[in-house]
Amino acid sequence: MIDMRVRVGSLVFDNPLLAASGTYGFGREMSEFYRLDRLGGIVTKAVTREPRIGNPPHRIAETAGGMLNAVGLQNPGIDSVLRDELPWLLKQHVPVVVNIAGRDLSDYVVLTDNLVGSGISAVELNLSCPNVKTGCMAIGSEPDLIEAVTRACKRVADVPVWVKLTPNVTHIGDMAKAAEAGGADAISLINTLLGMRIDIRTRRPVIKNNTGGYSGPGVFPVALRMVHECSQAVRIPVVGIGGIHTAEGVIEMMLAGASAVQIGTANLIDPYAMPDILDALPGLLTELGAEAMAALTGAVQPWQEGAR
Amino acid sequence: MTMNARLKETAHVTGIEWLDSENALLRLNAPEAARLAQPGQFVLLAAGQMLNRPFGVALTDPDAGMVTVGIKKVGIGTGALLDLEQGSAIRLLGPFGHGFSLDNVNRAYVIGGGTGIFPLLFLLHVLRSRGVETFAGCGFRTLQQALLQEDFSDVSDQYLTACESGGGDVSGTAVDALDALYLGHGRTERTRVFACGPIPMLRAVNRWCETHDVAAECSFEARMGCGFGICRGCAVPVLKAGALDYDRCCVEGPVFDRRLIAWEALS
Repeated sequence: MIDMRVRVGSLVFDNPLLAASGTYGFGREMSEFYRLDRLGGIVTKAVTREPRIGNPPHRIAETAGGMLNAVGLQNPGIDSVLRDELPWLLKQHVPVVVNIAGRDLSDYVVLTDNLVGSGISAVELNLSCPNVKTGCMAIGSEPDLIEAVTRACKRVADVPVWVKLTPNVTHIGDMAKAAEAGGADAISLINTLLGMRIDIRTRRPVIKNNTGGYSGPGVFPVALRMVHECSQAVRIPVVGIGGIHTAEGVIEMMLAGASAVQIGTANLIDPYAMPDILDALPGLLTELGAEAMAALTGAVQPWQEGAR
Repeated sequence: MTMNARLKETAHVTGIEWLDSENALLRLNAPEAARLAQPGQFVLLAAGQMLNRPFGVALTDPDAGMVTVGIKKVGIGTGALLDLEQGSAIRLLGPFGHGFSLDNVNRAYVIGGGTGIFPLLFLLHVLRSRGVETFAGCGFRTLQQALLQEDFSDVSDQYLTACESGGGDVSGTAVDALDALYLGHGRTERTRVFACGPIPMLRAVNRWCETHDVAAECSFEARMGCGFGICRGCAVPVLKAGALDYDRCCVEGPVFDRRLIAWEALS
């Protein structure tokens, strides 16, 4: 019997697969396909203080190995989420992490405060969305700001605080360290890579926002490297995200240093992606001679310089 | 959709019927989708690319387990689908989306253009089977580009082809066909226009319906990420309490009441 449980700080998940923010809504649509309690956890669509309508279309462009999106944080706002979405989602017997996004430090603090006592398992600070003009990635590219926002949220939170990092920086390890210095309980990475596509006939960017975030299997090796780098840079747990579409990808991400993973774009391509990966994992672990999922975290053995 | 309904199946290609050099009907054996699909809904087909491709259901035969979709070859994905051999297996998801409302209508004007004509064929079949009077008009640039004229005639009390370059039943656009049909048949208390086609056509249909104070349901196309409501990629501008908002083409749509659409915000 394979032990699929994993631990992220004080939180224990039945299995390492969490749905990634922005690729699972608030769970309702996906509950039409399968029981949500199969998952390790669900990270909600980003929630802001005020309702946001998001960016004008087109918001999506396909590309080799994945897609670009610039949805722009469309969501009904925290009041509506607390009233209309969370009560239902929390009844599905699956740990819920709420992803929050703001324009400045005070937005993040207010959102964290609003979620106190709500029954969720963790708050994920979205310091990484590349598709809005203020906040998010603008904060997540500055170590001082990451640290300040994290510290301020930690002061009010009654659950663990995760910080979701952007890959669109020169040294992501420095961003991880800033989150740790601010008291983050875990970091999650990567958010999408900033990209662009142009329609050669109209000479216009395909996406109305001009740029969008690249996700999908094409980003996997970049995400894997960054998860490895960050897991070496900090002592807090790392949640690995980015282009995981297979059970093998889950294992690779765990070996790189992830304590749990999030599945994103795979959900959009096949709504049954997460249960399919879950079904494949025990057999794969047996084949690999592993008895416990958690034992894989960080078990990669990098080549040493000069090794033969 | 109900819990545990099977919304994913392996469909098998039973035939591809080319209508001209770029449009074809792809016939699939997909029993679950055939059983569940309602007019205006779409299915997602894996097309060898990253994202699935949405296609409005053009016909179903639940007893035979058959679903037909109309496809125009526009890129690599649609090209790959139309290169499939008979018997090929492909992943099908769905049916998804909010389709046309079939209740409270006894006279239907069904107006199409471009690839928008395909799902209207399914609609006409179902309206007919419910005893609704059906008047249909499809617009094409030239008569050579006109598709499925006989199929539409077979399920309409009157059908008109409109061609911008002349030579059709009506010279002009799909809305000119609508105008001609309406002139001949007028309205009842429960008359509704059903439209599917490119945005300029839908915009013109909306204007016509405003002028004539007729209810209309318009089916939209959008670039979709997922196709079942979780990514919010397929935004359609709508008005809610007078303010701009974006609904999902794949869940709240693809069929919308024309009065809900923020027409000025559509591009």
